[in-house]
Amino acid sequence: MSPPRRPRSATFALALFGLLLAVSLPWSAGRAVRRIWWAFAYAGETPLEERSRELDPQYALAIEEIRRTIPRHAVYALVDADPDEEGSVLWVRFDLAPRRPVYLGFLHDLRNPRTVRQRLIRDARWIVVASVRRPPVLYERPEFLRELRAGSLR
Amino acid sequence: MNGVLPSLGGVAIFLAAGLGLAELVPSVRTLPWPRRLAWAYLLGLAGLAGALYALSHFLAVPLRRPEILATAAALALIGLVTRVLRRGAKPSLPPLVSLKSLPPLELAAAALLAFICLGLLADALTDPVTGWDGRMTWSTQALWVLDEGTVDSEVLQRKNLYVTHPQYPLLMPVAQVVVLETFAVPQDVHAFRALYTTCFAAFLLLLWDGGRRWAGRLPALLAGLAAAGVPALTFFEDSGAASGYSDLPLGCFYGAGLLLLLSGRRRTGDALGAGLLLAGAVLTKNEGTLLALFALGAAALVRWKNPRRLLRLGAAAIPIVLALALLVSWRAGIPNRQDERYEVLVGAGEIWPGAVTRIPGLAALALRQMFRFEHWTLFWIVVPVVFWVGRRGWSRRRRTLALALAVGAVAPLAIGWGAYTIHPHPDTLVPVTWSRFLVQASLPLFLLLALALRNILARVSQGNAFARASSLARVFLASGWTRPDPER
Repeated sequence: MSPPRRPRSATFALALFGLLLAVSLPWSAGRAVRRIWWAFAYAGETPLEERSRELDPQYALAIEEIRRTIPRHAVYALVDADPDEEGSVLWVRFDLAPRRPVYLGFLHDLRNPRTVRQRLIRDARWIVVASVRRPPVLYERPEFLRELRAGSLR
Repeated sequence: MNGVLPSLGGVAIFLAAGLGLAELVPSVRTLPWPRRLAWAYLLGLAGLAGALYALSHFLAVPLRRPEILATAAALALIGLVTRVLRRGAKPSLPPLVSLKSLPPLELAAAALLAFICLGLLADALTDPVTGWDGRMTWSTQALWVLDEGTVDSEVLQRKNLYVTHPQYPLLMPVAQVVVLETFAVPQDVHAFRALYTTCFAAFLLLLWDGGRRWAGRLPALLAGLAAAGVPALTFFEDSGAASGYSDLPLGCFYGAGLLLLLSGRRRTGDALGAGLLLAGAVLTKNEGTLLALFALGAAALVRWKNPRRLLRLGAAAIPIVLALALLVSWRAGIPNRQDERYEVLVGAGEIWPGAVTRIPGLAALALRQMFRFEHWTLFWIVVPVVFWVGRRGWSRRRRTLALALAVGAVAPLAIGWGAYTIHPHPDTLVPVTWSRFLVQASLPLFLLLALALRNILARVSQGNAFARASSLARVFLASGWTRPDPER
């Protein structure tokens, strides 16, 4: 009786699978080690310190300041100061929830006072201008409209 | 590190409710503890968050601590009463797993997998939500629902307020509310993140449960190790367990529902349990409805020869229909905005000729995602080879099962492909969503991998040219590692 044919393809596939595990498992285990280490290293952090570390200290402080000014259930308006959609308004909206946002649009689209009047509903007493390049800036409604007319908003 | 106790407590609430529901599912209530806990966790997520979603919408029950705890207690009590009533007939304490009885290699692999799950939990405890969709959709909506104590939140219902995807189903946000409200957690303490990372542990145990039954212990274990090495399922912040994305929970609900439909003991309780898990899928993401229908179709494929078994499948449809009714009723009060509006795109007949003309460009974009090391490492280079070489593992007795799993694995990808076909900017959509559709498909996909590995291991063990590999494989074979588990 002849011995069974060499299962070359099966051995090759198994070796390849072993390579996959050899490459990917250390990656995951390394991540796990690092995360567990961080959990101990940052154990005493306050939520503000945590967000400062993870996001940006100036961003975290600006959010704290805006939270103190806008009441929890108030309506505010969001303006995207970036040239394209980069998500700054979405991040600010999450950090200011449960405050209620209306969206005014991109800053570069708000040169027409009529557009602004149409979008800026009466409830919105505050305007937050968000950008991925700098911390969010809070304006009172009259101040925002004044600066918009003067063209000094960036 | 914030909110250790609320994080663990949140998981415990869903486990308690789920253990109650698990008593109603014959195939689950007799399992050993680790696997039983995995099923219970998902049943608890779907059952408790789904019940609160329905109570809040239909009966205006506030999502506050007393109501949440009362609902969780009621679900746990159902199980307790069922167990007490049944005990007269037959005691059914699940067996404990003895570590001494496990082979050393299996023990080492289980320890490694547990360590990676612990790393995910540590991530959840240490960092705030940084994943894009978690911030854009799920976690923000959870904060609005938490604030008002109802799923019919004014923020969602007022057309002029800026909400992204306001009609997205709220199961996971409601689950987040359960944690934040029950433990009075401040909004900056991200205790709810542990709900998402626990889903990965549940995923591994479900894979072990299905894989060992159909492929044997070693192939199931190897498939589990492969899953733990995939960043898109674990630490990648735009789809993995460490993200606040709903794709892994959806993949777990869908995969678990399909698994129970294919493996259940053909009892009505199993079908209802599978239906509850698929109802969880319906209430987790938009595509969950289509996935639930695909799962029913895949199970019908296995059972079509037997009309009685096919009829019993109807029981699984009951929770799905109820979940759909809840979703339709809840959505009726919410004006849609900031959304792709796929139903409009489909209605406008945008499918043709894009379905054909877009294939080359989209395929290139999709492949680029699959070959990105930081998403999948070498997975999509190696696994097609393993599938091809081990394809006989899907034939003969397992042909129908493999076909049903293949339908299950392809369904999320087909839905994704359909979306790309009609979307106005698929080139921007594919890079951020394709890996997530693969995550949704992962449980049936990894079960197919386990079946293919079983065939490969069996063939290697027959050859005599590679003595070390074959003797190792023989050891596993002798210990029953590559045999299907006779337990159920």
